[in-house]
Amino acid sequence: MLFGKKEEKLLVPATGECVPLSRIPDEAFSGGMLGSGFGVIPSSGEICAPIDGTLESVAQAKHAYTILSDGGLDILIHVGVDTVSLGGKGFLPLVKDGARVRAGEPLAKVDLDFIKEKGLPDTVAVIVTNSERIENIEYTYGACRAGKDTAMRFRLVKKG
Amino acid sequence: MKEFSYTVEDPNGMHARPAGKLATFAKQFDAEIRVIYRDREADAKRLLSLMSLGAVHGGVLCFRITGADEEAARQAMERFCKESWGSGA
Repeated sequence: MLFGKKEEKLLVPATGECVPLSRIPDEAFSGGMLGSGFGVIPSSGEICAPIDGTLESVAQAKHAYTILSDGGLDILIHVGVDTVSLGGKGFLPLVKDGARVRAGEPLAKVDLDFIKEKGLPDTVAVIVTNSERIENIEYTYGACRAGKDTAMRFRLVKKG
Repeated sequence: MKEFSYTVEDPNGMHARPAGKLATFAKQFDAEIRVIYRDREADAKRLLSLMSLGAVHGGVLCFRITGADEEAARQAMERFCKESWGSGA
C-alpha cells in the first residue's frame, strides 16, 4: 500500500432498483447520519454481501447484518425501515456471527411480501458507518442485479 | 477512569438507529469510551461494535470512559443516554 490508494467497491445486496440514500423513508439513513451509502428497492428477497469481509453480527431481529470489510470498513446492511419491530419474522439468516463472507454471497432470505403486509418499507440500506475512511465516492443508480452490479466505488483514506 | 450505567429503554434494544446516534455523539470526545454488556464489550464510537452487543430492552450497559476529557464525556454521555436516546427516538 505504499503507492497510491486502492479503489474499492460495494456491490448491490439485492436485485431491484438502486437508489440514493435520500429515497429511504427514515431520517437516520436519508440524512446521512449513519454514514455514506445507498438503497435498493428490492424485487427479490435474496440479500447478498456487498463486499469481502467478516460478518460481525446478525441483529437479534435478523433484519440487519454488519460486515467488517477486509479494508477495515464498517458496513451495515439494513433490510427495510422499522423492521426491527418484526422481531425476526420474515427473515432467514444464512450466515452466523464471525463467518467469513465474500462479495455476492447470500446473507439472508427475506419475505418481502410479509414486510409490505405489515405496512413497512422494504428498502435495503447499505451504509459505510465509518465513512470518514472513504473518499472520491461514485454511485451507480438504476436497475441492478444482486451480487453482480456495483453501486458504489470509492478510495480508502490513508490512516493518519 | 469514569463510569456510569444505563438501562436500555428502547423496546427494540440496541438497534441501528440508537446505536448510530450514540456513536455519532460519542465521536466528539477524545476519551476512549467502552460499553460493557454482559460478557461483551464495545467501542461506543463504532456503530457496528455497539450493534454487536445485542443489548436488549432492560439490559444494563456499563460505560467506562478513559482520557483527558473523561469527566466532561461522562456527564454529556449520561445526559445523552437519558434524554435523547432513552425515548427510543
